Amino acid sequence: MNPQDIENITVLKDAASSALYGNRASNGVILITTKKGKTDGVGLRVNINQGVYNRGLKEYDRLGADDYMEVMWKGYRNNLMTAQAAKYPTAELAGAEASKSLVSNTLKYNIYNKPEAELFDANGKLVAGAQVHSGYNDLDWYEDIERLGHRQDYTVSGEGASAKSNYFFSTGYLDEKGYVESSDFKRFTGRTNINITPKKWIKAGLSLAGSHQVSNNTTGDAGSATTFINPFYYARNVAPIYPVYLHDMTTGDFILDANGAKQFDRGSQYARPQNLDRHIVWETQLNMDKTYRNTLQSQVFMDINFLNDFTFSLKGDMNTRATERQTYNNATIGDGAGNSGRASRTFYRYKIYTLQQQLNWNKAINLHNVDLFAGHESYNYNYAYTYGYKTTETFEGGTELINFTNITSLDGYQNNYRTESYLSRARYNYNNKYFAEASFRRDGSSRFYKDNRWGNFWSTGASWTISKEDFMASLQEQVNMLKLRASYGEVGNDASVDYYGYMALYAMEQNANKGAAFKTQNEALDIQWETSSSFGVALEGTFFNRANLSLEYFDKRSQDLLFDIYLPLSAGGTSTSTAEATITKNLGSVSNRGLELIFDVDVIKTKDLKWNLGINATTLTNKIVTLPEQNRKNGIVSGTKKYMEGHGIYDFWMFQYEGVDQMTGRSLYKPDLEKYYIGEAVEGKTQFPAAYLVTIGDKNYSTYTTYAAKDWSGSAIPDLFGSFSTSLSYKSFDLSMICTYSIGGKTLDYSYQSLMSVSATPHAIHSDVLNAWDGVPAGMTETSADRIDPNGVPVVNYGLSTFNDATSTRFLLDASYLVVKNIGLNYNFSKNFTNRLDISNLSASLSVENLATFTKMRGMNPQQSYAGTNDNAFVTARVFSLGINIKL
Amino acid sequence: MKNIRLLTYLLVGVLSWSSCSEDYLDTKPTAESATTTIFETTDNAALAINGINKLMTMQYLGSQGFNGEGTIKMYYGNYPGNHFYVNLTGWAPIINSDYHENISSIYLYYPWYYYYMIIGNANFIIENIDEAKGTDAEKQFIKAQALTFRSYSYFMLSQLYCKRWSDSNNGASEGLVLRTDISTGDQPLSTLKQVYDQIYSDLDDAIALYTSSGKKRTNNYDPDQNVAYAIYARAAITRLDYSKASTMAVNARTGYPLMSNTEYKAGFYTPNKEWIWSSYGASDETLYFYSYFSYIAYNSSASAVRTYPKCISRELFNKIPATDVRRSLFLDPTGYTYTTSTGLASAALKTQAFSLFPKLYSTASAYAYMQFKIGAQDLPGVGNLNHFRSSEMYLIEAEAKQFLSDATGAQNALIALNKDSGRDPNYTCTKTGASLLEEIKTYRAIELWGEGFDWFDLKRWGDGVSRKNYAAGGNFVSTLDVTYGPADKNNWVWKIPEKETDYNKAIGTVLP
Repeated sequence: MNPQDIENITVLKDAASSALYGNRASNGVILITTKKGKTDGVGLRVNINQGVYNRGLKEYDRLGADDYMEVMWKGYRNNLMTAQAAKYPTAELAGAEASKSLVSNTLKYNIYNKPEAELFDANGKLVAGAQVHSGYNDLDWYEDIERLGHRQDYTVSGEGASAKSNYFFSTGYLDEKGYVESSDFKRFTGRTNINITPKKWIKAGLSLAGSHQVSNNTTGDAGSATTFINPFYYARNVAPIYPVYLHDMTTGDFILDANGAKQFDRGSQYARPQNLDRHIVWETQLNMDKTYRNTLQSQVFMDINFLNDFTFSLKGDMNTRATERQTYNNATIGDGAGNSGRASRTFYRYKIYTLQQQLNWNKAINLHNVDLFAGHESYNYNYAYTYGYKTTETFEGGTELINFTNITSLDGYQNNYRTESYLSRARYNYNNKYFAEASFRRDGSSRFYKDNRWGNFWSTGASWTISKEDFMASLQEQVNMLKLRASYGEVGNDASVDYYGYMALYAMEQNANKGAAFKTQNEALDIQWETSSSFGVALEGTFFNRANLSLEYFDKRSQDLLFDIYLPLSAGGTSTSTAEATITKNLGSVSNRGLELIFDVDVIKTKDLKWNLGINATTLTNKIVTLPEQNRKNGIVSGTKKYMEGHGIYDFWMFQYEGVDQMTGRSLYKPDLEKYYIGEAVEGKTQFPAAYLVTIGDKNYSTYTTYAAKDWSGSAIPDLFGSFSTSLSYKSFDLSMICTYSIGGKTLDYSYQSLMSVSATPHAIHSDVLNAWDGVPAGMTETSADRIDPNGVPVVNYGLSTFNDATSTRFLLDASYLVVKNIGLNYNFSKNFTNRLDISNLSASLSVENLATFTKMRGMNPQQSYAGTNDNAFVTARVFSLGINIKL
Repeated sequence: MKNIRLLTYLLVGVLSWSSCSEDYLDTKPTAESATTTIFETTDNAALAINGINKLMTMQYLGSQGFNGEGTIKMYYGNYPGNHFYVNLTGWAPIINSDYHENISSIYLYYPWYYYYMIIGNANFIIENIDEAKGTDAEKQFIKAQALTFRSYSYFMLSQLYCKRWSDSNNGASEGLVLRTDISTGDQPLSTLKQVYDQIYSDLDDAIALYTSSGKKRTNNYDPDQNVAYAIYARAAITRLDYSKASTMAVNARTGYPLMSNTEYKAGFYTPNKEWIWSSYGASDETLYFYSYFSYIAYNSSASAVRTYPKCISRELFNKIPATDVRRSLFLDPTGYTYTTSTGLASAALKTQAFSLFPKLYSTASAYAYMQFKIGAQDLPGVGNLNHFRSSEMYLIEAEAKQFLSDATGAQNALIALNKDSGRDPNYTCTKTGASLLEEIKTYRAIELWGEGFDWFDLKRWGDGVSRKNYAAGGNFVSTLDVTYGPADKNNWVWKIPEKETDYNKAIGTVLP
């Protein structure tokens, strides 16, 4: 949707008003009203916007080549001493072996100006004079994958209105080039709204909006955090000794092809142990992943007034979307190489239509206003999928299907999803001072078994405009508006269940060209609607004509939560892509409650100068209120979280990192004494294996998470979050700034974990590894009080990384952040000037989005997921833009 | 006003008409099939058997190398064994068996996940097949196949996640979650004996049902009666139940004569007369770089092969007589130089490799002792994957008879395998006692090299791992040249994955 077509956006917060929108409102309602022709004649607007993009978050602080070599040396040496202690009993022997074979066995690349066996001294430091050959100026892979993005946006819209009709049209063009190579987007949009009132008793209208979109995609979402085609995975993790281009290792010079051009290094020449035969820059250049999308949205309505107080409305909307995804993987490098090149086409066709019949009765008797409403709605979603895939290209680089000789897959299916609803509502107000309303609806969904398909939902609400009371009349100057409102409402939610969620399903595959069926979904006949309820009380007011305040308490609950719960893996996996066995269940209830404060004040308010300050702050507590009986005692573990009554669904449940044992450099974890006993045998428990036990004083620790205990480890939800803003206008200038912030909460940073783990498979390393334990500190003894360093970094050792760098609370980081979200400057040209140009309005604007982000850990993106995990994925873009708005 | 009244009636009419028809909300899946459809007829149920065939050879977990049964052979049988060398120091944790207690590792939970997926599907068939429309013979055959899959899976799981039989106090030690119905909830561990009892009774039932059905399979990739015998033989020898093993091995190989030398050298990717059971593979159902063949087939274009070809240990190679055809399937470096610390071939040895085996992929690296036994039918790694063949049955028979003190029988089985087949025309065996057992172990290692037996054999025998670097007479790179005994590495027992114990609260009762 073109943002320029939007008249206003309303967020429906109170439950009662959301109720009419049913299951599609279970996560709240955002009402977007598109522009209509206004009654003030005819107008034409032109908006032009130009911008540039770059990366809005800095990269993690990673080691350069020299430090990297030394850390890898140490990891190698230390591993020899622990894994083959008999053969390498001393640091000298192990160090000599490391110096001799680190490059030949592990790194394979020597980009230095000295022979591989002469690089290190006996302590693993690079010898004096050892330097990276000057030819290696291509060790930072980001340089070849990032670029300065560009954005252009043009919109022209026109409108007009007469007493009995209005119209609006707009057309727009957007062209975005992202800051990562091969990520761009073009969009053409058109919209028109026409409304007529031919007679007093009838009103009708049509709205049509269409778009044509073309995008080039680069895979970079957190769901693909470890795929070779994710630039953030590849460029972040590639070891700083592997170049983008092919070099002669003896001289460091590029090895040029017959045309004198540099060649990409696929890794096979020197057996690169990381990402062999994969190359993000090269693959991005040769491959294609393009999506074409056409959308058409239409809405028609007709309102008929009859018998004075009745209105009958018929509304229909139809949204269609046709998407074609074209992919091509080249035959030279990467995924397509094994197929001699390959290409696919995927067609997605969506057809969604809704039909509503509504009857309204509206009556005002003296100061009493009553309105009653009844309606019926049917919703129909149809999705058709067609997929074709061919391999073995004829001509190099030909991306069309005809260029391939082998049909590998041709597939297709449809999904249908339907709901039907009956709805009703009654509203009453007295003198616009006291308001009350109630609603009831009944929804049926095709996602549930026929006996459990229908759900009933209701809502009620009331509000009181205090400022309209007589006793407030004397305070009219100080309290311009004061309102108290409260509401409770429920809507159904079926979105977390698949389209055929209740059925036991078999996947259809083929083996030896015959149908092959295996189980992929367990039957769940008893599942039913999840209920999203919402309760809120709010006080809203305007004071001294300067300040606005809104304070709200909310408690949003999901009851009978629909959830895919994990079964023991021995129940039989239900997915081939993840090792899990699941079944869908309605599962207790969760509450999200908190306080939201919105306040803004005009600090200065004169004719020429106006300065406004605003703040928005929310606290949120997420809590599981009830769980089914059988899960109440032990809760339900879900990855790094655990669901348990009294705890939140974003509460981490993890191995407890205690710190680094200063005598050994090993990571210590809290031991699991539920399953294992230490010392005297305990019935029903196994002996704690001595090899992983560390006893310090009277406390025990485990060096292996297998024998460690999990415990509550904080929540992903911040203590406080929101925004603050300021705007300053002076004559024709407006300057504004919005910052968003979040205080508290934790993020599990998988990217950091990976960068902190040094193993025999080379990959980039975080500079924090330089602080790793490196021998027993002077004066440290078995019994020292400070034997455990809770903030320490464990010893670098390839073989021990599994133990030392396991997923634990060590990688749970403070997620607090501050983002300078937007700074904007706008200038309105004077009437004098615009009159001379014969236009009615002209303004220019300058803005920066995501100017700066401040986090505890550089590189981490705490906004990546609500569940508090961070992995290799696109980070926000910083956008500088310049705009001109003209109104005729 | 009259018009408006008319309109009102019209609208009320529209409102009442607008209610949807009763079946408006009944939508049907088209991408998948409902269980009721699968078990409507025996023809449909046969799709579920073929579904399990598919489960044994498909891409898993979005992680290359996970391909069903081939992964078990490669990562669990070959890599951690004594005689399989690959220059992958980064894989030391797997090759040196360091992940047995890493309960969250994909390498630890993969077999559990994979075999229980087969078991779950088999249990569904066993539970539902009787209600399907079709002849009794068809139902019996399908049920027998499902029982075969189930017994095989429990057997493989027990080899990984349970103690070796000789340590098990006659099976009293911890077994598995022995699900024989379609339950999905908490269930405690059985004993190892209960696991074997279930395997035996499933196989007895399967054999009886195969027999009574009178039906024969048409494809090598489907399980049948001989497959049941073969599983029986393998399970019995692992359980140290020698007389059973000996009988079943003979039953299993009946009708499956040993392959010729020409067939032996054909790359092990197409079923021949010796193959008892396999998984299907073809170019139009390729697993690409995930496939077993993309990790081993000498002619594969996959980097896992080109850069890291799979080699036999120098010691085992040296034990293969010069007259034995099997020796010709490995690159003999005699007379050539190579980097002794890794095995990387010199240019001359590489040239020799290409001249001996021109199908070697053009950009492949060559290593001393690299294998040419297993090839791919198509690139990057297409092929049918063998699970059981008669040679193994001869070896089981020899081993069983040796333990039953029938030295002659054991010698004859070895002679039949090695000499009568033509593999080594000069072969003969007169050994007895411990040296006979040693001979059987050696020939097991030679005959079944690369087929995923190495680690499993060492485990059941209670032998250790002893890999040597060049100086010590072997060809392993440093960090992989390790030695450890049967009691190390958690007694060679993979712990039960956290993905089981987190959700199965009945596990935890401790057995001896």
